[in-house]
Amino acid sequence: MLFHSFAFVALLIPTLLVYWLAAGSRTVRLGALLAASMVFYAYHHWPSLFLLLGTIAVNYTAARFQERRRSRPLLAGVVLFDLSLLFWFKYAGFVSSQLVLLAAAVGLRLPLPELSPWLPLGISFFTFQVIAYQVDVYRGTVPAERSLLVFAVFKSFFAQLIAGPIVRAKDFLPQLRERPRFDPARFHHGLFLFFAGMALKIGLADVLREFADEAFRDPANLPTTDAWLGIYAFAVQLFSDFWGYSTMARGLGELFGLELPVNFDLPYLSASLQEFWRRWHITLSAWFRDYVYIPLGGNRAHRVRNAVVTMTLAGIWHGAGWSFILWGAIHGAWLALEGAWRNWRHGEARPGTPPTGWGRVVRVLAVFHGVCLLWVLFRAPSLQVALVYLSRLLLPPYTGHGSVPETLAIWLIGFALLQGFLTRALHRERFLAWPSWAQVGLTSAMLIVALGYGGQKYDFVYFAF
Amino acid sequence: MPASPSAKLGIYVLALLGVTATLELACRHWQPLFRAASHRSLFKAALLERRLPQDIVFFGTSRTGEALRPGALLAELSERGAPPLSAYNVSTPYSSLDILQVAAQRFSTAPGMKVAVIEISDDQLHRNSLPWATEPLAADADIDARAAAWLQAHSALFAERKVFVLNSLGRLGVVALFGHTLDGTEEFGTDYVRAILGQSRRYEPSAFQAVDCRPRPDGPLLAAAGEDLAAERDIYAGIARAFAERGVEAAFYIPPVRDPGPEGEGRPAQRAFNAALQAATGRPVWDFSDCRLPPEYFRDATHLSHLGGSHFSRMVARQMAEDARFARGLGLHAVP
Repeated sequence: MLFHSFAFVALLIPTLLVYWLAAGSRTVRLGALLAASMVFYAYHHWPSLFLLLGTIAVNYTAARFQERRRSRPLLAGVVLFDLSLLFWFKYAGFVSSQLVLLAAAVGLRLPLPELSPWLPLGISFFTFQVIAYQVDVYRGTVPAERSLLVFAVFKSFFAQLIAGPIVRAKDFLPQLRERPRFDPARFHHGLFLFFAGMALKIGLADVLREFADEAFRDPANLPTTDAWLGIYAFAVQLFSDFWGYSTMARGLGELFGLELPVNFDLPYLSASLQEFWRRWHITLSAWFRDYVYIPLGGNRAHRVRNAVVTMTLAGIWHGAGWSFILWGAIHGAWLALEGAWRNWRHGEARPGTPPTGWGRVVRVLAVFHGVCLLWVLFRAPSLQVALVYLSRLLLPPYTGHGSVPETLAIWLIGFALLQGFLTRALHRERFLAWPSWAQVGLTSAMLIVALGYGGQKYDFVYFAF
Repeated sequence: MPASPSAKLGIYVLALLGVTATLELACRHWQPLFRAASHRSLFKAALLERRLPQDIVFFGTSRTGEALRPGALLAELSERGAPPLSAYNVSTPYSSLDILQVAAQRFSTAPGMKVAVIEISDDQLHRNSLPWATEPLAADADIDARAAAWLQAHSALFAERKVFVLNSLGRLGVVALFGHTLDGTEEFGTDYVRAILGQSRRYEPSAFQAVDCRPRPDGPLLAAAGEDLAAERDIYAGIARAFAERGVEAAFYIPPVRDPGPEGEGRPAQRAFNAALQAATGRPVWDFSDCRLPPEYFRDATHLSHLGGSHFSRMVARQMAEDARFARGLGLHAVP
């Protein structure tokens, strides 16, 4: 079920009514949220619901045992259980196909069965969320949740179940336990976030998707200019798609009086890759930092190895395929090189002052284009196609097409000029400080864009992860 | 005194509902105008309606948009002794046979029309459902499809929502404000700006290269072989009949291509189709697909450039002037 669908609105409105009318009863309030989340999840593929319920039961029980008696084997066991589900549904097909290919290369015929392509929605997100919870309970930084209902809503809240943001137990569980107070300002801002996210998704991401898809359809015959326009279109499409989803998720949270974390903060204006990852998919970056990079040794030792391993795992998290692995590994190597360069320039202790003025502009452009080049690996259906596309971007013959589609040009320029304004507008205090006419004007413009471009409904890109 | 958060929320929600209601009323009031802006074919038709009556109207795809320039054609007719005439190009890129059929039906009853020139080409023969038509609701439609169908039927705002797409907003402005300045050959934004500013490019005959081109004559012997596209031929014949009933002289034509090759576009099946159509309707089919024109007359393999279109339009004008039925219909007194 997509947020920008009539079916979702039909689910949302009664859920909101029950939630706020029965705010005094935790059982009814959270029961309504849980029921809505189950309907939301089952709507797409009902058998997946049993997987979700199974992981809720196993993780709830394991955390309760963990709290009673701290056990490293128990932690390893439950994390292994969660990862094995993720592996089975997301990676087993890829691994098996690679084993068959490897065996064939040495003249063997491996009789492995062809595995089902069924990928439960959001499995990567809710698996990581619950692994963080198990680690936090083991570390003693959060208590195990006693109420199964609270834990089930934490694990399955529909606003962030399928594509994040990945919430932490210490931030989210207390909000679920407490009785919410209806805050009209928050509700007001939540409505705006929901509409703004919808406009980003329908009016920007889905429009640019057409151009990006067209560019990747037959990259071998693409003029150089069209190849660059195609990857710019994809870069903005991917960002606005996921930013739109995360913004709608935050808006939905606010409608229920729940605070979900910000997931994006102008990532394409970053002057280094490290800064980019602090601004892009912030909750996932923080997860990898806290649960992979730092446990591996962080900045203390083997920094290069830690960065490459962490980012390669981040690549694998995004998808089962060599292009994702390569994408992650190159990001890791780039981060490691950046760190080494910073240390050489400024020393270990002093991080150096961030660049300003034209120096920053040049670095922002360099980082943006580097990220765009790597998005080719992310978008292309295979490594071979990615290499062809990269060759059209970087290698001769350099050919041009003469004209740029008006919609593409206006949307890309509009995005470049307005991303800062829109990011600021999404801040609650700023938005609520605006006069009513400005709030209504901006929201109306966004709704008109969404209405005009609405039609063919595309899934959010990150649903695939 | 600043409003309370509750009041602000109330104002926000009520104002958004007010904006929605206002847009709904606007869409109901100006529905034909909004619908005309939502698709390029409807837009071109709406522009033509604002410029009726027109003596000559061209129907076709983007190839006709480039090939038949009203200004050049009228200049040639005028030089051949025609009285002051008007012409309009109602062709649209990606036009299909279904769109052609709708446009021809719509304007066959237009007052004052004397001549209709209708493109035949692979693109124009292509069948496709009308892009603005609403698909019928499937029996197993989900809740989203059912809700959308209900809104489509009950809300003008929802039904005409495509008017809020960037291209449509541009068209809305043009059709509402500047329709009287266009001749239908505008394709890009710069073409519209130039036309609105009254700066249409016109070429004197001296600018053209010394090339001449006549349509290929197809004999009646081929007509018997033209059964491959019988359904399409019947649609074209129906269009010709509709014009004939209103006393409009119709001609079919095939525009030139950059590299005709040994058989050009007039390959046997196409030639047989032409002959069969000619036999069925009694209307001429001017097949220019074998014409060898200079490469600079084309902007790509199948579309003439502005210069090429201007020259080619004069060739078509000459063709009209030399055909007694068209010459009579257009009031030409002297045919050199």
